[in-house]
Amino acid sequence: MSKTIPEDIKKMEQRISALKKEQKLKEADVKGEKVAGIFKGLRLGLEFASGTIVGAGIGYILDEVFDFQFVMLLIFTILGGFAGMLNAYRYLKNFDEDKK
Amino acid sequence: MSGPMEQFEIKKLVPLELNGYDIAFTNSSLCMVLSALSVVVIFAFCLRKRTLVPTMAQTIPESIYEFIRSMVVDNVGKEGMKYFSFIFSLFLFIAAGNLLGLFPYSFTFTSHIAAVGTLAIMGLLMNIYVGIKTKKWGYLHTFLPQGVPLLMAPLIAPIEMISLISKPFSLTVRLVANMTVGHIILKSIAGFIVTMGLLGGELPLTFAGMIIIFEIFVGILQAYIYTILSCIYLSDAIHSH
Repeated sequence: MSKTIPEDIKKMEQRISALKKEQKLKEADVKGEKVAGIFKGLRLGLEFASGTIVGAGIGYILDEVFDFQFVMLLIFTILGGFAGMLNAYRYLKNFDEDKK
Repeated sequence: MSGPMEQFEIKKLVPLELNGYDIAFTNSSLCMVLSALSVVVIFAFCLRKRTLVPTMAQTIPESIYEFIRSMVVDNVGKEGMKYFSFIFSLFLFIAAGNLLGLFPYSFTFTSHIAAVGTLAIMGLLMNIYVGIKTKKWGYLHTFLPQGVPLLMAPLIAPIEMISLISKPFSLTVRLVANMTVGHIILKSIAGFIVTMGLLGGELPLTFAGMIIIFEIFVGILQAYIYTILSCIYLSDAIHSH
């Protein structure tokens, strides 16, 4: 009697390997998303910080030129923070639209 | 031994002056000229035999061209192809500068805010010009989006203005910080090779080699990010929000 592997066991092996492949792909996806998330977070932080810094810079220059003491620095730093938030929000909105 | 920050020092090679302004030809300028020249030379060499079926060398510039072209078309649209030459040169100039800076005794001009910031401001001015050209007075809606009540204008307009100006700033900081940090790490680790000598110096040597490979990757990636963000800002200028 020759030792042949029954059909159903052969099929089961195929199914197991296919499922394993699928799982590996899913794990890779999760990893890729994690890396993309880090870049996204870095980008968001930079957007926010750059808005604030640019706002503060404009305020400082206005203070120096028009001799406002520190009023403009105060106002424009806050406005810069808002601008940074706006940029971060727009970036996230674009990102979500791309995903869809 | 020289410190890790000394590699960023600007040295005057040919002192020049114009109306009291110092416009000396520095090592930074030399590297900019070299990076532009290297791109031209490599492209001219690869494209010397222009055949319909591309040769091995010809595929390199063609694939870069296709890559940037699809980037512009995807992000700006068909009308963005008018500005393709600007985006293409921007990518090649920055990528060449990043890669050229990795050679020993060379200088990374992309690690200086003065160089990259000027490029970003040029991009901003071009965006404003393109926006005004395509939208005429409608470009002012950039500072006050449609649907915002006029009462909010004193608050919204400065915020939008700062948001516009902060775009080139974040572009610059991203590239400069990446290049500076990479080169400082590289230099610090390279310093260990000398101090540790033959006993154990191999370890930092391997590490430095790995970091150089990583820096090549980062250099190209940062050039790509700089270019794609320029594309997105250009698309913001052309299309309304």
